[in-house]
Amino acid sequence: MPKLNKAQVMIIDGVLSLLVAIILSFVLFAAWPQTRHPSAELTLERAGYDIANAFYEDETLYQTIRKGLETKGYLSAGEVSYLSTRLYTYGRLLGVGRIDIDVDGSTSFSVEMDSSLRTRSEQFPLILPLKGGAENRLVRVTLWR
Amino acid sequence: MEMKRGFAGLLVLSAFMLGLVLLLGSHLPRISSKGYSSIVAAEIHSDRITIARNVITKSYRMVDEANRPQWASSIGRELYYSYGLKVSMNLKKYPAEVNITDTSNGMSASFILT
Repeated sequence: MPKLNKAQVMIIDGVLSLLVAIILSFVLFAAWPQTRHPSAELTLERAGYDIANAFYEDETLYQTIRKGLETKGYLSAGEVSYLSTRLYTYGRLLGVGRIDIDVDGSTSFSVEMDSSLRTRSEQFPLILPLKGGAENRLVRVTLWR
Repeated sequence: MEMKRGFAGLLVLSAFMLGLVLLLGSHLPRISSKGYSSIVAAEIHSDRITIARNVITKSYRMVDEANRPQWASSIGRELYYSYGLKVSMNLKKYPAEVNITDTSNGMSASFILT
């Protein structure tokens, strides 16, 4: 075995340290638990499912939209106010920050649950049947978080 | 001998130190984040299909039979625009059949409308 001087030993030592550090980091990173759980990232998608249910199954919500659109073709200030109150409750329960509602050919309005900075949004379309299902109206719902 | 032991200690210590620094400084470690992001992305696409399915199933029950072709056309157009989902419906069959395909990853769902 060749005799190594002090400088060569130090260089080899440094290289070995680096290799071991890389291996160690690799092992630690691969086995390290997730700091964020994916469920938190998917709040908007989960909420989207429930909001769709709310529009179709909450009789008072659906009937308010249906009456407004069938009789006048648009939603009045009173109807928007009622819907906002109702949607505020849903938004708070589902953990979303804001809900934007855009009714095709009618009013657009927003319901704010909290005033924190919005970073993510998810939009989905709802087709609301009117006049006993003889007509459709598109409602675009955007959820913010 | 003393020098060798000193270097051995330094080797172990530096390895742990570097590992710890890299670990603490990295919020999204490369290996984990890659797998993590793809899981979340797949879950989001899957959830969108579920929302689309929910909208189709719920609204179908409320639509008048004469209005169904127009409703199907609106559904197909809007879901493609919003989520990139391709919706094909066979309303002539009883019960009606629906297939939703995500154009970005090929994920699909088939169901019947009652």
